[in-house]
Amino acid sequence: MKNHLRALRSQRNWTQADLAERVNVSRQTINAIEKEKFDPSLPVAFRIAKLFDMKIEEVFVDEQ
Amino acid sequence: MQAHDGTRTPDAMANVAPLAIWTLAWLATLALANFGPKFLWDYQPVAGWVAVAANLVVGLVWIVAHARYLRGLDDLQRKIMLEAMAIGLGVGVVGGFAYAAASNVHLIAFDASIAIFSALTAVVYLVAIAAGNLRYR
Repeated sequence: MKNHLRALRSQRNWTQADLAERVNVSRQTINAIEKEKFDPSLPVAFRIAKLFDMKIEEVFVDEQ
Repeated sequence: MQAHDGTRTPDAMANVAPLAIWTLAWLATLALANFGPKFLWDYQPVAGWVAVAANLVVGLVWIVAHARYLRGLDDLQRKIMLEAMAIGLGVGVVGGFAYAAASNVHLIAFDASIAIFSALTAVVYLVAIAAGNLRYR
């Protein structure tokens, strides 16, 4: 699934580890989501969207 | 604090030590149940049953520790573990039954031992975890 995670993270000068700690997932997971190798679960997607004060569909792009 | 390689959350890190301790405890009680009769209590049945019961009890705690470890993992790590378990179990079952079939019709000279397939399953499981981590690195 496409997403704007890397851009949003970069805007805040956060490392992947910083974001991982805030969302309570591993850095590996953030990396895999950014590279679009892995789609997060709904709770993780909600936590990410809430962290950036955005809606889920503004962070993650449904390609279907 | 994340793991040095960034693969585990603090919750998962906290569950690593208990899992390692209970794994070693299970191995120790398994060794005791296997070698105790010969080297420690001269095949006395009561001592043997106590050792087997201790192995079972510690084994149950080990299973609980493993389940707790899996629950502490994040989504991606849990997916990697699930895939690794599927591959490990699959190889163990398929390999085990194929070996048993070959043994039953006397294609293989020596009998199959369940320990070999348990070890095979464990090794394949560990390799599959490493491969999964590389895949999502």
